[in-house]
Order: sequence, then structure tokens, then C-alpha cells
Amino acid sequence: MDFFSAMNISASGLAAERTRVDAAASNLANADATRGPDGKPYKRIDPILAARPFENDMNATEVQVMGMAQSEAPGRKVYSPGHPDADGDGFVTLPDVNPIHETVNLISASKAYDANASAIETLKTMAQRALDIAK
Amino acid sequence: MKLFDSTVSTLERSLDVRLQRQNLLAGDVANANTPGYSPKDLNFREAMDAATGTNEGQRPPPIDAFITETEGTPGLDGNRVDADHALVQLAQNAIQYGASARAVGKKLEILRAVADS
Repeated sequence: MDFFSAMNISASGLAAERTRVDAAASNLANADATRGPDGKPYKRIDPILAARPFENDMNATEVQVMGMAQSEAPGRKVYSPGHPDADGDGFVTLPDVNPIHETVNLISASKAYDANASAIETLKTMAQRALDIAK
Repeated sequence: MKLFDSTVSTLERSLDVRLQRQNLLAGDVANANTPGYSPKDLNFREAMDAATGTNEGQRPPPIDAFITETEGTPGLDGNRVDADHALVQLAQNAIQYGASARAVGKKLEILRAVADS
């Protein structure tokens, strides 16, 4: 266990929170996208976070992004007969994205990112104190 | 009378314990949004008591033995981290680490003064 272990743990937190921001940004940007990469309406994504022992040290835990979960929920149906992606009844299927939900996620991820950054800052101060012993 | 008495080794132990605790708290902050995660902490007093109670020449018990999983109310995703609490502990722990580090520095300063006189 050394100073750089704790910094790397906090760095894993930074990476995880950034992934959450990326996902929320992608969901918000595609809130009305009727064609995703597969030609179907965009599916909202959610990162899967998992705690993992840091470098096989069973005590300290870092966080890891295990992957992205794609929402399989049916989209919102909106009546819009003139739309090129409208079905036979004139309904367009929009992604299952709730902008309020995404915005809340965005704020929560951004705050958590700050928390990890300040943990690193605190650790830097600590390391400096240790170096000062020999001054 | 030895040159490096038990003060230095006690302070050394406290620096080790504080650093280990910092690592645990950093892990708690990093996992503030991991579903089902329970925060970990370290009982500083118990870890120190165990070391000061150890006879000379014996190795103190490993710090890992004093790690506890914190109880707390889980959120909707089963996560028990209180981010505010973890950050406050993180800051406090760092200050106390600084205090121990400074004490070691002063102790060495005294020895240096003796050596130079």
C-alpha cells in the first residue's frame, strides 16, 4: 500500500464517473433519435459499475466499468403521420429517454467526479507531508 | 537509552495506519455510485493499541485485521456510502497524517541537533 495506490483508486472513480457523464450525454443527445446504429430507435445506455479489489489487495476497492447496459424498454409512441419513420398507424417510436432522469444522473456524476478529484488533492497534500519529514 | 526510541516506531505505525485508512476511504468515494457496495473503514485506535501492546522484538499485528465494513442505511441501489461523511473522514485523516509526519520530523530534528553539537 502506498500513496499511488490510493491515487489510482480515486482515478478509477474519476473514470467511472466520466463514463456516467458520457452515457447521460449520449442519452440526452439521442432523446429523439428514431434511427440508431441498427436502424431501430436509439436505446438508452447505462454504465454498469462494479467494486473490485485493487491490484489483488483484498482490502482497498477500486471501481470498474463492466460495460454498458442497453435499455430494452419499449419507446414512447408519438402520433406524427408525416414522419418518415412513422408506422402504418402514423405513430413514431421515440427512444425510452427521460431527459429529467438523465439530467439528474449528469449532476450526480459530476458531483461524484469532484469528490474523487478532491480525494486525490488531499492525498497529494499527505504525500507532501511525508516528504517534508526528511526536510 | 536507544537513539530511536519507541516514539519514532509508534509514529511510524500511525503513519502506516493513516495511509491504509486513506486508501480505504478513497475506495469508498470511488464506489459512491456502485450498486450494493458497503463502505470500509479502519479503527485507528484499535490498530494503534494493538501495536503499542506488542512486546519489543515482536511484529505488531497486521493493519488489515482492523478493517471493518461500515453499517449504514442502503440507498435504492443497495449502496451504503455516505459521500459527505467519507470526504470529511478523508480530510481529517490527511490532517492527522500530517500531524504524525510533522512529529517524526521534529523528533529527527532533535536528534540532528544532538548529532551536530
